[in-house]
This record gives sequence, structure tokens and C-alpha cells, in this order.
Amino acid sequence: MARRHGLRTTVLRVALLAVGALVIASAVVFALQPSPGAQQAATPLLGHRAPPLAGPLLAGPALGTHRGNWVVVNFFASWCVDCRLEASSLNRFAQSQARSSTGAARLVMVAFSDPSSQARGFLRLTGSTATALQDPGGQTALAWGVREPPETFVVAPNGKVVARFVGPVKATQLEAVVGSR
Amino acid sequence: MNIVAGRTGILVALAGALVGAGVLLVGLKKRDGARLKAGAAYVWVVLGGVVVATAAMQHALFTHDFSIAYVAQNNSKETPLLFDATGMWSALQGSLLLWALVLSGYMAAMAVRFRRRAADPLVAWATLVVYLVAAFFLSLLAWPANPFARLAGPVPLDGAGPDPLLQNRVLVAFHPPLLYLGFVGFTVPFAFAIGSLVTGRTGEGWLLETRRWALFAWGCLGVGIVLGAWWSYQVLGWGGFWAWDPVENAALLPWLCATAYIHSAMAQERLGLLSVWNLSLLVATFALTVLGTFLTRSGVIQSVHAFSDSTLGPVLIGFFAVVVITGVGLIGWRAELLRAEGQVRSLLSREGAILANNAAFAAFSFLVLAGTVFPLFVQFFTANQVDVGAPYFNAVTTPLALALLFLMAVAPALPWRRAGSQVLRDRLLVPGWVGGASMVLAAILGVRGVELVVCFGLAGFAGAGALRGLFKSYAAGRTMGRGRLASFWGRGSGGMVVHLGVVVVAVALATAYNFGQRGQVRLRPGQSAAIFGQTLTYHRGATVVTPSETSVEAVVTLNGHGSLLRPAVSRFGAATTYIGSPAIQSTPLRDVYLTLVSPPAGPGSPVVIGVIVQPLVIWIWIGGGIVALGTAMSLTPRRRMGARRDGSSNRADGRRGGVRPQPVGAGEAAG
Amino acid sequence: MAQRSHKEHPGPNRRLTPARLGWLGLLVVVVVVVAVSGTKPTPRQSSARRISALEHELRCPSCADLSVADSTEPSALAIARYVRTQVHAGATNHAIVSYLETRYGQSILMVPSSSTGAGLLWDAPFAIGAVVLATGGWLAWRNARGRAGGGSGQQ
Repeated sequence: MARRHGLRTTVLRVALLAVGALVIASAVVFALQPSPGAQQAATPLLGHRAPPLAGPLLAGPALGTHRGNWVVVNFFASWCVDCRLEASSLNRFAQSQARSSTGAARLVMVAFSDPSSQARGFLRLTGSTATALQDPGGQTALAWGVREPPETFVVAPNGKVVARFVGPVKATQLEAVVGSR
Repeated sequence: MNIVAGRTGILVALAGALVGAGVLLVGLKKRDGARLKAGAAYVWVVLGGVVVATAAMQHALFTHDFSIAYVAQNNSKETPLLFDATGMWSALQGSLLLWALVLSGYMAAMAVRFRRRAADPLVAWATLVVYLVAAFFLSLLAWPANPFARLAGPVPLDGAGPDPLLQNRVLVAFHPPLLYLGFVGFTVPFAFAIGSLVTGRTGEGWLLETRRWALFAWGCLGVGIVLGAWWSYQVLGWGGFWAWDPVENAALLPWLCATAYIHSAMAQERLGLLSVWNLSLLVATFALTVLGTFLTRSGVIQSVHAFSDSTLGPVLIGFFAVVVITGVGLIGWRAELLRAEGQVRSLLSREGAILANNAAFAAFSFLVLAGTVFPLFVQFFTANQVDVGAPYFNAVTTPLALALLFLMAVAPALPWRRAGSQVLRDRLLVPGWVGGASMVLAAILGVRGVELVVCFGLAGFAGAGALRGLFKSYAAGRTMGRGRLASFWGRGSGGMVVHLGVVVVAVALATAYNFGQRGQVRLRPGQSAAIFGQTLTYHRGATVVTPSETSVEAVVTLNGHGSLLRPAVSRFGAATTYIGSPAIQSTPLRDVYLTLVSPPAGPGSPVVIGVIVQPLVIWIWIGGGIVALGTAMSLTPRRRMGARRDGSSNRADGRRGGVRPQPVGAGEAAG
Repeated sequence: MAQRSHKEHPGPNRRLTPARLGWLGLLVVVVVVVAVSGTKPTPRQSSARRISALEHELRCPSCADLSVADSTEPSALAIARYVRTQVHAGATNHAIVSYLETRYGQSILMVPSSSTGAGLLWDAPFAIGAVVLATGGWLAWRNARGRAGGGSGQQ
């Protein structure tokens, strides 16, 4: 009998040890999660060809071809607060790129679930001069995997997506990506 | 002034907890009863400090003191009075303050309840544990999550206001406090479990002492969860009540563990069985409340209920690890003392059924936990972002829920301590036929699908079983000479009432989930449309402006009469995003849930209204109320002779392992 | 009661007591109802059904835990529209889902696909079930042996 109890106690202790080890291991996994709110967000598109941009023109110059140029694609909506916050930053970036002579990046804005009149109003209000496209049915946003505006993608001259920003983006962040290559 | 008072309150409370813990430790070491009594008195310092801090926070919210960063972010001059007050739990720092307030309230209740036994080492150890837990949360409040942090820069003229989702329903005033009463309440049984392990007094004494505390916390948590579901139904606009969201799971997990505990505690109380298991369940329950706080407050997981993100993650997960290691280590250390007095002799006995119940609840918790934290593991090992949603949880928990319904029907009819197949055959024939009749009825009403029909059958079975138990415990009370009300109102009947409530919730959930219909109609003013058996008439659009919000609403009537329904989209304070506020018409048989999908562009232009018709939704909330009632019945102390004699005589039986036949009623009633 | 069960347990000549008849009747009812309700007409693979099933499998990208079917967010509506047009254009479910995966990542699925180790997640219930059944079986076996051994018990 005594031996039996000894055995049971041992089994219990081994089980508890296993539980403890498992919990510590899990705690380490939980504690080492990448910190949330990282601005540069992952997307399966990174390193792949950028999806095509198409749609009725809302404002600004016609889309034309941008083969061989850096392109910054920004998804916005008039109802989105963060889009207002980043608007001046995007304008500053577009203007400074237009002034620079070589390899200037072009900014393309795409309206996300926004009626044309309201999207145009937003662009007027924020003083945007970039090419702006309408996205009826949200199929362009879907092709880019946009969850919620604002989202901003940077496409390299070779047509590959190199960065994605979720939330309000700063001009310096975009310049860092465009200038680094 | 608010900042000074609040900060001082928190620091005083923290000092009180630490000094109290120190005095208790010295007293325990020197076996000095006077010191132990003195140590327990520091509870009042903690309570006083936290109350001052809470008062300062409330004062700051009501007077719009925007020099405090928390107030500037969670309050505005336009916020209605009620939501000034609830602003305290709109975000992380204030929620932790609420946590501290509830905990110090429990500490004070403990001090009062055990005032005559403050010199008892077990009580002293339990108090020590509570002090340490309080010290942990208070030090979070003192430094990394300081609710009284000063706003950098000039004081703004107006604040941002609470999150729009947190300022349009009264439920916001009740749901978080109840949830916290539940979460925090498990600290007390946990502390006593630790105390019993440290002192080596692992008999069932501490368990009896804390049974009521655990039950109270369990009841509050359950009601808090139901209110949370109700809140999301009223606010989130998709017509659902449970999305297996990580925050919902974080509240459900301790509830599941605690449900297992309040059942298995009966087996220990009666027969001295399952002592290691019960201690483990209490440690797990408390640890899961901490893990839940981590999941919801650290920002590792996105959720509709998570209104804060912070850098507290590593600290909270560290505390979680400490809790588990302490519990597991102590149980291992005391393993020799914890060997069972007896064994489960037959699976077809009450204790056998409780064992099965615990296996089901443990599996339930494990699977919910696995699904909830799975994304964290995937992200850690593969850097892939994945998410586990409703289809997984529904698939794995449905069979367990059905098994639990079955056990709920069978277990209360089983006798303690002996094989009860014959007893079952006699006692369950009528409930069995009620179940069979429910299945027939369901099939006649057009329900198809084995799972669903079986669910209704088991619900009928369990419901009838609970009614039978209720009747038996009433009859037993009457034969013992109690009054009518006293016979109905007691622990045994309380349990059966809880079971009835759970059955009601289960039927309502299964029906609403499987027979809901959703669609949209596009209407011009004055037009009507028929959809899902309802006639919807759109009268006009309207814009309503109040100081705190601007709403665009559609004025609608259902079926040509009755009150006006106003599904709307609203904008709160300075925010520019509109959030929907659904309009709901509830009747006992069905809810009609209307949302404004696209508001009218101008007078005379059409609107698109989302229509969701779901049967029996109201019974989910009613069932929750029945559970609350049953819990209250179980909590009421009964001072009559009958109950006491009943409990103790059975206990004695258990020790001897006797199989003395008992009168039918008495053996069942106290279950 | 204990005596009665003693009398009835052994002995193959089981008489049909009213209680026994009652249970037998109940068994018949349950089996019939389950059989009737289980034989629902096999659903035709209509495109509406396919669309609805896909919408329940896909997560609304901008909400935390809702499927596309449950959400009216713009991003969810875009996916619903995509699913609808692709199904009508004759695309396979696999093609539709994997296109969306290349756009939004794995998290677009309500339940991760097995390539990310989700197989473990789906195996867990069976593992637990096996453990529970084994423990229950062991307990039952031990009890049966204890009873056969004259109830010597293992206290």
C-alpha cells in the first residue's frame, strides 16, 4: 500500500512538472510576441508584382504608365479620420518627389468605399494634386488586400511591392523606402 | 488636486498591502497571533487608499479634468453623466483601478468574515496571498499603467470622449463591473487554496469556507458574460451575440473552470474525493483570469471588445507564470497529504457523473484555450498571421455541449456512493419521455439535422430532470417541516434552477443560431416591403443632434403598427466615423433587428435597411436571469436544522464508505 | 432498492416491467426521430449555397471575428462581390480561396488551413476524447475487478 501511494505521488509530481514546464514555455512564447502597432505591416504581396491599378479617374492627372518609376499607392476614404491626419504628409511627399529630377516617385490615391462626390470633396479639402481613382465595388482594394483605410503601398520601379504601411504614414517613412534603393 | 489625491491613494494602498504582507509574514514565522491580527488590519489601509483613488478618478471625470491624460482620452465635456462614470472602465488604466477597487472590496469582506480567526495561520496565509495579488495590481497602477499620469503639453479645452461603442448603451454601466466581480472574486478561493497547501491543512475545511465565495464569483462572471453578449448584440450591429472573440473567450475560460470546480467541490465536500483536482481547478481558474487580462489588455490579439493596448504584456504574462508555478509547486510539495480518501467506485453514481462533467468542462476549456492562443504560437514559430474563428469553436464545442446537457439530465438523479442504474431507470423515465416528446415536437415543427434534434431532445430531458429535482427538493423540505418558501429557496433547488436557466439559454442559442435569417431591403419614404414574414414600412429619415452625438436615423414601423423603430448611424463627439446603432424589436418568439446600411442621402431618397430576424433571442437573456436567480438561491445561507444535518450525515457516510440506503429525497436534494 | 437491483441484475429471464416497456418505447421514438430528421434531402450544390458557404469560411478583413457573411463592412462586401462573380464565372472554391490568401494572407480564413499546423488544432478533440475514454474505461475496469474481488477495495 505504502509503495502504491509513493507511486501515485510520483506520478502526480511528474504530471505537475510537465504542466509547469508547458506553462513556462507558453508564457515565453506569449511574452515574445512581436510588439503590436508596428507600422510596416506584412502582406503576402511583398516581393510580388503589384496588382493592376484601374478605375474611373476621380481627380488629378491621368494614370498613364509608371513603368520604371517608384509608385506610392494610397487607399483613402473621406470618412476615415487617420486619412485626414496623413493627408498633409502625403502631399508633402508628392511635392518633394515632383521637385526631385531623377527617379521621382508618383503618388496614386484610390478611394475606398467612398461615393465619388465625397471622395472628391476630401481631395479638394486636403489639397491633393495626385492622380486619384475610384474603385467601384472595391475590387482594386481587394486585389491589394486592403483591410481598412488608410493603407499605403510602395511599388519599386521593377513593379514589385516593397512596403506596406497600415495607418497614417509619414513622408519620412516613404522617403526612407524610396531613397534606400 | 485629483492627480495628487489619486496618486497618493494608490501609493498608500500599495504601501498598506506590502506592510500588511510583511507583518503577516513575521507573525507567521514567529507564530505570533497578535501580529497576525495586526497584519489583517492593513486591509483597511488598502481599501481606504483605493477608495480615495477611485473617488479622485470619478471626480476628475465628472469635472472634466483634462490635465489627466486618461480623462482627456476617455471623457469629453459633452459626455452624458452616466458615461462620465463608466469612463473609469473605458480603457486599460481605469479598468485596472476598477480591478483594484473590487479586489480591495473582497479583501475587506474577507477581513470581516474571518475577523474572529485572524490569528489562524491558514487565514493569515490566505490574507497574505491576497495582499500580494493586490500589491501586484497596485504596482501596475503606480507605474506602468498610471491612471493619473499628467497629460503632456497644454491642457486641452475638450477631451476625446470614450470610445463611441462604449457610450450608447446603459449595459456599459453593469457589464464590466459584474465581470470584474467575477474575475477578481476567484482571488479569495485561490488564496485559501494556497493557504491550505502551505499550512498543510488540506482537508475540506477551507473548501467549505470558500464555497460561497467561489459560487458568488461564478454567478457574477456568468451574468457578466451574458450581459457582455447582450451588449454586443445591441451595439455591434451584426445581430449576433457570441463570436468566439478572444476577449469573450478570456471571460469564458475561467467561467468554465469554475463551473467544473463548483461541481467537483461537491464530491470533495461529500466524500473527500478529488482534492488535488479541486486545488488545480482553483489555481487554473485564477491563472486564467490573469491570462485573460493579458490577452485582452496587452494588445497581442485584436478584438472588438479590447479597448486598450499597452506594453503590460510581459509583466502580466510573468505574473501568470508565477501564479501557475506557485500553485503547481505547492500541490507537488504537498502531494503526500493530498492522496484521496476514497475512490470513485462506480461511474454510474453521482460522483462518477461529476467526474464525467469535469472531464467535459476540462476538455471544453482546453479546446477554447487552444483555439484562442493558437495564433500566438503560429506567429511565434512561422511568422504567419492566422486567426481561429467561430467554425472551429462551434465544431469542437457542440459535442461537448450536448454531452453536458445529457449529464445535466442524468447526474442530479443519481445517488451518491453507489451504482445507480436501477435508480436511473426509475427516476429518469418521465424526463426521458419529455426529451423524446421534445424531439418529436422539433421534428414536427420542421427541424432537420441530427445534431439539432438531439439538442432539443436533450434540452427537454435536462429541463424535465431539473424540474424533477426541484420538485423533489421542495418535497424533501416540506417533509422536514420547512415552510413552503423555505422549501423552495435553498442550495439544492438553487442548483436545479441554474440548470433550468442553462437549458433555456441552450435552446435559445441553438434556435437563434440555426434559424436566423438576414437580408436587406431598399425603400423610399412611405414604401413597405415584406421580408421574412415581417412587413417593414419606411416613413422618413431624420437627423437628431444632441450635445454628445449626431445621428442619422430611419423611422420605421413593423407590421403596420406598434412603436416606431429607429435604426441609425451616429457620430459621437469629435469623432468623424459613424457607428451604427441597431433598432431591435423583441417579442417572446422572435427578435427583429434593423440596421441602417446606407442612410438617406436627402429627403425623399431611398435607404437600405438590414433586416435580421432570429427566433427566441430574448430567452438567452431570460435564461441568464434564471441562472442568476438560481445562484442567489444557492448563496442564501439556510439556518434551519435540516440542511445542516443533511450535509453532515452524508459526509459521515462518505467517510465510512457506507452504502446505507437513504430516503429518495434527502439523498438528491442537497445536490 | 439495493435488494431489487440484486434480484434483477443476474438472470437472463428479464420480464417486461412497465418501466422497461417505457424505456423500450422511448428508444424506438428516439431512433425513429433521429432517422427521420437525419435523412434530409442531400443539398444540391447550387451556386447560392456555395456562395453562402464560402462567405462563412472567409473572415471580414476589417473586423476582428466576423465572417464575410455576418458583416456589412466595405471590405467584406468587396469580398462577397468577388466570391459571387467568381462562382458565377465557374471558378473552383479552391481557386477563389487561394486568390484571397495571396492578397490578405492566411488570416482571411475563419479557420487556418492545415498547412499552418492547424491539423494539430483539429486533432486535439480526438486526442482528448481518447484520453477521457481510456481513463473512463480504466476506472470501469478497476471497479469491476474490485467488485469481483469481493469488494476488498483499495482504500
